[in-house]
Amino acid sequence: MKCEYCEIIEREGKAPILYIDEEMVVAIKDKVMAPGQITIFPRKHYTILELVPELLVAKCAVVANKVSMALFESLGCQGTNILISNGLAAGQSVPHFGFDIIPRIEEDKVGLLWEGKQLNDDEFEITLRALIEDVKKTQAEKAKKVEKQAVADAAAAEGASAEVVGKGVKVIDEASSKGSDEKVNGEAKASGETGTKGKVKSQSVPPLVRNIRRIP
Amino acid sequence: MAEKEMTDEQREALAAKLRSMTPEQIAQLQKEQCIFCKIVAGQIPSKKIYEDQIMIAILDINPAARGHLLLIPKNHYMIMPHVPDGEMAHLFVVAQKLSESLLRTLKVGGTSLFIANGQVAGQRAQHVILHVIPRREGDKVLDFTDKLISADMVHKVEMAVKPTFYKHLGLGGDDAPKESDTANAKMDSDESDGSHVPLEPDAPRPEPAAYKEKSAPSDDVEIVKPARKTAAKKGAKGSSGSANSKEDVTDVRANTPTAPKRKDDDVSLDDIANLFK
Repeated sequence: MKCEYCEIIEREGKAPILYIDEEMVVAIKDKVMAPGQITIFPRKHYTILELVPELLVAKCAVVANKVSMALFESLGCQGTNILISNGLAAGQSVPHFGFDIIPRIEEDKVGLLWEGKQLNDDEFEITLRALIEDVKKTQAEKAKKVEKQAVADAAAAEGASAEVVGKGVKVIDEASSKGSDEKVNGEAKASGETGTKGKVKSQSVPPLVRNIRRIP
Repeated sequence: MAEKEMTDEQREALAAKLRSMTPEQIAQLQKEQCIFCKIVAGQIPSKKIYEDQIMIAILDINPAARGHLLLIPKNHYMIMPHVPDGEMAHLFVVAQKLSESLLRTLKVGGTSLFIANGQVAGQRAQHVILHVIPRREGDKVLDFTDKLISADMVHKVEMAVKPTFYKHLGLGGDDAPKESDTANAKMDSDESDGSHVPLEPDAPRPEPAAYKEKSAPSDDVEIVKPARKTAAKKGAKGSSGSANSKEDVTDVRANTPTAPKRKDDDVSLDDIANLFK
């Protein structure tokens, strides 16, 4: 295996692994911007961000925040950066997607800066329009997919699971009205077990938003 | 994004006022002063390309490159540790989608996702921002240099970070995973104790007790397969095998234990999987 990250998983002894499970690895590389830099990467070999399943991105993001907190406490750094270098043009050096968490202290000469540019209004306008269009298209496509799936699910799941759907919807309502992440966890688990189909409730809020909110 | 300059007098007056306020009042004041909260509220105009219940995405008006996006949580969080896990996850999932949009519309070869957490890390705003920046080769954006650090240093980092990291993950209590396999056994007993020392008062953590009731200990054991130790593939290193062999890169890294058992709160990620089906 040529990929450095896959090698880390295979060999395990080369780069210390802080944490590993079926989906994700947290490791310490020796080629870093600053000592203490930690890398989180999926166990499976995804090359770029766009190919990684949303779930995994979500998990890595949450864990990245925890790593950052741990770095503050254990290394006494004064700041942290989270960086995803996505694609060769972005300086991605390993063809395997990863999150880098970099501890920062004053005058560490790590860099990671940029100079703000002044663009004229036309350029902004063009970019703005193009992106808004693209976002709309993506959301429309997703909504169509979700609807199709819902129709298929509803057709398949008539009768016995109607009760389950009802329960699921109720739990989601309770959960969203509470607003606090911690309390929601207990219910999130319950709704995960029973009401996966119940989430196609409110079309005004994309399901992604409602569900992600419940990650503890 | 420069804040107004204050005279020394004004600074004094503000400091005195802050001392007399409750944390809630201070939080409210921060929110009122925060440019990005004003943008979120629509009080300051912005070039918005995306919005949902949790966040907005706008074009940076002083960008690193055309298409530089700022992803801003609607709630006011000054630093990243304050951001709840759900919102953190959501920010990055949306960032993934917007990164794809950038690749498509701007035809660039890559994007950088970046959070500056703390002033020394480059944070200039009093509000957590996730940057999504379109990248081109040679653009002099987010430049960095990699250095090779010694095996000794890597080991030190591991020993320093691991216990705290595990505490934040909710794995194990005071006992740091030691360098042997017996450590895993110890962690198991910690888990079943249910004796978790809550660390950060404001870090959103799931209620351990709730999860304990819902899954038997044996579930944890089944979920995770310990990482298999294949025959040592010594020899060709990956891309990091550069000529700087000043550092002593030995293979004496016997410290990595086998895969730790997944804790109950990780079960919540399964339920995310269910929600996504």
